[in-house]
Amino acid sequence: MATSRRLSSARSDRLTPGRFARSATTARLAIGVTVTVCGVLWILLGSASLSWFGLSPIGLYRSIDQPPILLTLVGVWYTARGLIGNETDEALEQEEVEGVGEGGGA
Amino acid sequence: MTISGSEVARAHWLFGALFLVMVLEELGPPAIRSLSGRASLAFPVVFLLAGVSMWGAAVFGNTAIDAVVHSLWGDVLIAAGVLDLQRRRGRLHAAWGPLVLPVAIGLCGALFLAHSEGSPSKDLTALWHVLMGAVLVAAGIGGVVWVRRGHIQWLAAYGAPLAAFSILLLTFPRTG
Amino acid sequence: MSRSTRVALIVAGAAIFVTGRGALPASAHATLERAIPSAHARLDRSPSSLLLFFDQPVALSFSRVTVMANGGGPDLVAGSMSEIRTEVLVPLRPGSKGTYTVRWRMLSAGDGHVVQGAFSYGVGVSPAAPAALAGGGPPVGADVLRWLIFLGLAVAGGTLLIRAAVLRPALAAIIGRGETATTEWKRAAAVALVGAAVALHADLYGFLTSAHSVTGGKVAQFADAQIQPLRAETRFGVAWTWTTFLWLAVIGLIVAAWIGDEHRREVLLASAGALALAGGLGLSTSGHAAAASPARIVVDFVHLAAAALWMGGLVELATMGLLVRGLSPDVRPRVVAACLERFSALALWLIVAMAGAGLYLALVQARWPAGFETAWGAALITKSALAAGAIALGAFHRWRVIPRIRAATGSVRAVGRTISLEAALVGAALLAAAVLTNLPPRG
Repeated sequence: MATSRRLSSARSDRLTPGRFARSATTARLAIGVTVTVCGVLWILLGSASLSWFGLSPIGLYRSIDQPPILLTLVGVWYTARGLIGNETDEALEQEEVEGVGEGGGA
Repeated sequence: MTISGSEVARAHWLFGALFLVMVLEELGPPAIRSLSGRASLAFPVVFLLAGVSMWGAAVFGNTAIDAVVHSLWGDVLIAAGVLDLQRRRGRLHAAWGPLVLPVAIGLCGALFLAHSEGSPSKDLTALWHVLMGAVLVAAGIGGVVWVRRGHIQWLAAYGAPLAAFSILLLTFPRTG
Repeated sequence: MSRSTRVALIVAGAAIFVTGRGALPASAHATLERAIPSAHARLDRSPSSLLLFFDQPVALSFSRVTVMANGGGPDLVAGSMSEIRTEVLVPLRPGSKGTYTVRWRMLSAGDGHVVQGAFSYGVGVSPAAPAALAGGGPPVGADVLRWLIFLGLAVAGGTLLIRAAVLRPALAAIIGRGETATTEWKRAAAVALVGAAVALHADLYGFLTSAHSVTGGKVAQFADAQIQPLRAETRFGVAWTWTTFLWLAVIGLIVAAWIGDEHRREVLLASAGALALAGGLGLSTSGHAAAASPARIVVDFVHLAAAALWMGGLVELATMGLLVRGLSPDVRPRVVAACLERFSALALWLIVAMAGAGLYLALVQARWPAGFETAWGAALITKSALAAGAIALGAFHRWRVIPRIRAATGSVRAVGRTISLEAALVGAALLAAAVLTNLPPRG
């Protein structure tokens, strides 16, 4: 029952496949940029507490494993995901619409 | 014999970043994908392997209560990971299937609250554990509501606390 | 490999890396970081003092340290403890050659929690494990937990291996691969999964029970007892470390059989069974036999493995009744008779191995006839009587029941009941064996 309620509400929330994919991409970019900006601000405000541990593998790992840098990297990754993943999303979304129409889904 | 506060914090930060990646991948746009049979297997696989790691933490934990709580954690994560993996692969068709992950997350939150000792008003580490436990419990409740209601707007009740949990991990205080 | 899978593997690898580096303590209690003499140290002469280094200040007025020889004797602590910041100095009287167990209980000055632990060092000898506190034998819980580990071993290891060696060939020869065969593996996997999960948890609580018998104190205080020295430097701790990961691997293989494709399923289940049986080595290396010689460990393992296979086979046969209900009436007796025959032939050798190894261990571990007067001797007699009853029932199945079923004059349902009774007798013998392993063989 929960599944059929979910699917019916999913249909009511859905736009046409292409428009939905573009909407998703925009949202992804917005989230990615926001997280990146927060990370960069954190680096700037907390730059005194950041440390550089050298170019050795352990040093690089410890240098990256600092919260402001980690957050920025996550933001950059998600922004890139938004920019690069558009075509894949459209194709997958088209398949989903066809699958739901045939009664597929979880 | 023991791990330094610095290493503990470092481990939390890295896991926080990776968990944020997971939450964005799983619940970020287009969230609609997570409701269908094409759902990503990332969440349950990570739950499964994190559960095994928790048992490792139970073995190498400092105290007896560490061993007990981490083992319970491991049980919850392994069971949830296996069940949700089978659900996403279309091999488990029980009506309660979609509830497995939110309920497991809520239970993990409860275990966090049980595991945290010391006074939150005096000890920053204890405060962080209480906050992490509270947001996970909130995420669990939000997730159950999202699954039951089915409307996309309830996704925030699930995703926001999980994102908050990631941020708490990322900002875990370094002691010692 | 899809993006999702790549992300999952990266996150999982990092999760294992960061959490496998050790537990992430959530408590703010004082923790013993090191000691002089250190845990498991071997010293040339008795130390004049003991230094304990904590990561936080402790309140000495509510704290206690004892240093006692494992073989018994007075407490070596001479005078009051003193503290400089987070270092505690304990003056000691001279002691003679031997192993000494240090038991410490400290009140964390910061949060008021009591923490405790124990470790040992040796003077002129390589130190033995920290001694259990005198005056109290293992609690009943320890016997029950050991029994659950035996049962888990039998139910996980025994059932899967007997299924692979006996049941599947018998079923395949008569009914072939089909829907019933497909359902059959799920039943076996579910039973084995329960057994492995029971053994995993019983192992954990068995270790904690053993650790508590060393550190002493109230159970509520034991929650904060530091168990790492006991895990790393005692036989039962090291055995627990290995068997935990072994049971996790067994569970992983069974789960992999469930979620994977059918081509590898039987190999995965049989591997899980073999690995589960290997877990018996953990028990043998931490039991009475381990104190003697590697050869005795091997004999102990043979005894344990044979019993586990026997018990596991009986469980598999007893639960097989659920399967044969779905078969046609003319096929049912043939399947039951074929499975019973194959298992009986194997069980005869298992019993010979188990009895032979058991007799050897009984003769070398105790002094006879004085052994009959000890609690250990009484437990041995009880175990032997229960096993003899199960063997007698097994003989009844072999020489009376199978011919009747072949001749279609015997009841399949009645066989299920008597096999369950035989399994119950073996299970009771395992309980007696669990009590036996917690008692000293020589009184």
